[in-house]
Amino acid sequence: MSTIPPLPKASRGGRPGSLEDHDSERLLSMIVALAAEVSMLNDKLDNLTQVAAKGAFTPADVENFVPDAALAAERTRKRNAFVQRVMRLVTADFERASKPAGMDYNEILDLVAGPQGTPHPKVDVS
Amino acid sequence: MSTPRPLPHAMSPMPNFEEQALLDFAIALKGHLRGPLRSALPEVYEHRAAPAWQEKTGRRPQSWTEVGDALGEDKAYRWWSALGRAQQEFYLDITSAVCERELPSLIERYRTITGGDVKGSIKLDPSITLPPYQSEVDIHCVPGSYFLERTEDDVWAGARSDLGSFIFSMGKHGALNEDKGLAGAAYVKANFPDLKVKRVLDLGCTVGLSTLPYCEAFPEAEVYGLDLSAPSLRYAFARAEALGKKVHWVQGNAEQTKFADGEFDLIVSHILLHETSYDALYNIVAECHRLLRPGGLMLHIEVPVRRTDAVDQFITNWDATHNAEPFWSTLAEMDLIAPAVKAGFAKENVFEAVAPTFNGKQGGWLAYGARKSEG
Repeated sequence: MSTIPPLPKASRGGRPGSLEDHDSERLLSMIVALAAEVSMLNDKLDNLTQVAAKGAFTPADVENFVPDAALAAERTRKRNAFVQRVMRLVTADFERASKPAGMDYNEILDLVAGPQGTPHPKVDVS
Repeated sequence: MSTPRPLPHAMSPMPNFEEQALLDFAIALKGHLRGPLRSALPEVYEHRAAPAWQEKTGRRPQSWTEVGDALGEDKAYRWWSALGRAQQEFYLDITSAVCERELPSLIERYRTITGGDVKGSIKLDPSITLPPYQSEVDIHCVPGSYFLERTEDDVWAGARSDLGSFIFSMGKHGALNEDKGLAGAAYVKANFPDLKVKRVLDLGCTVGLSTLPYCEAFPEAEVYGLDLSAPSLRYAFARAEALGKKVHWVQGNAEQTKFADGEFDLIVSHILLHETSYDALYNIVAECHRLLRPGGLMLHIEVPVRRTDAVDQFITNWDATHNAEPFWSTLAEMDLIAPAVKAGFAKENVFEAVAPTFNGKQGGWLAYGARKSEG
């Protein structure tokens, strides 16, 4: 099988972007891949913990360990929680945008300053 | 609830522990994007994107494309979209790697299964040429699409499609990903109980996920699956045999097949149309009319692409612009009666309805079809 050429990595049709620049999307793709590795390592560490609890084990025991239904459900819960931690700021922005906008932080600075005003540089609020 | 797993069969590509854990992460990420964030998008539109657009233009967005202009400026939507594309590419990469690692075993299994006693058959056509709507774009952003062939008896693209479809639907379309076929067969039985089905043709069948339910629904019928992709059909053949189902797999173009006039009682397709083009849809419907016997039935099961609300329509059309399914948004607006009437179906026999799902697919499936007049 060594004569088979490698799989292509680029799909025809180009890559339509969504963020303001394509470089950010490239970084985002790398973060998604890295987050997946962390999630996988979490699962693997849990495998290791489970087989270690039974005494002596081999590397194959770690790879082949199959969680029972309760443990599988617990892993799914932890994985979802991990996703939510990684996605925290994106989710927060959805939460903010889903309700009528409150005061911008610059307006709050002015609000509390009183009649004399507080000199401050305009902050960039996301 | 734990992350779903497909029902394994003798042709299944089997992710190892690490690959499965990566795919489980992909499903968890998609669950967040398609769950709470997708549900919040109409609120984001209402409270932030639409007011911002109105401030700029002096009026509210009207059409779904104007909704898109408004949401496209909003960073919540932009991140949702960017993450959606990144998630899509990520799980494609992993499913591709699984099938690449398993390729020698997959080819061997294909040869063993199809070289033994078989119920069905396969007929490939090496002279086939791909229509531009398939040759110019890798549908769903899969590098190599349905057609990558790098070695003899290559089944890589088919295996990847089987595993990938399950991950894409997050396991929500059944353990064998058969929901579309179940929905189509049930729709036929519920709405056309008098239809005598001796020969069924499934157009654009890929690996036969939706084809096999017709074997069960019509056990007396000869079932045919047609597709452009040889690697998909090889895989479909071995998969069907592994699952004990008799199907005749034929490589061909649904716009112009080599079957004779009036050969079929029932012609179906499942999420085929949105991967074609405007002209191709006309041709496919005309071909269905030619291949049906008088009184026969054409039924296309599609993604529920038509939405009544402009915001929902724009979000649904994301796949057209960002998941390399370019015809999707045109299909959503297309008059589907006209192609059927042009093909020769009587207008009163053309229908568009919702086919109920068996696995909780939101909005069910779009059922589009027509019955050919008797005599």
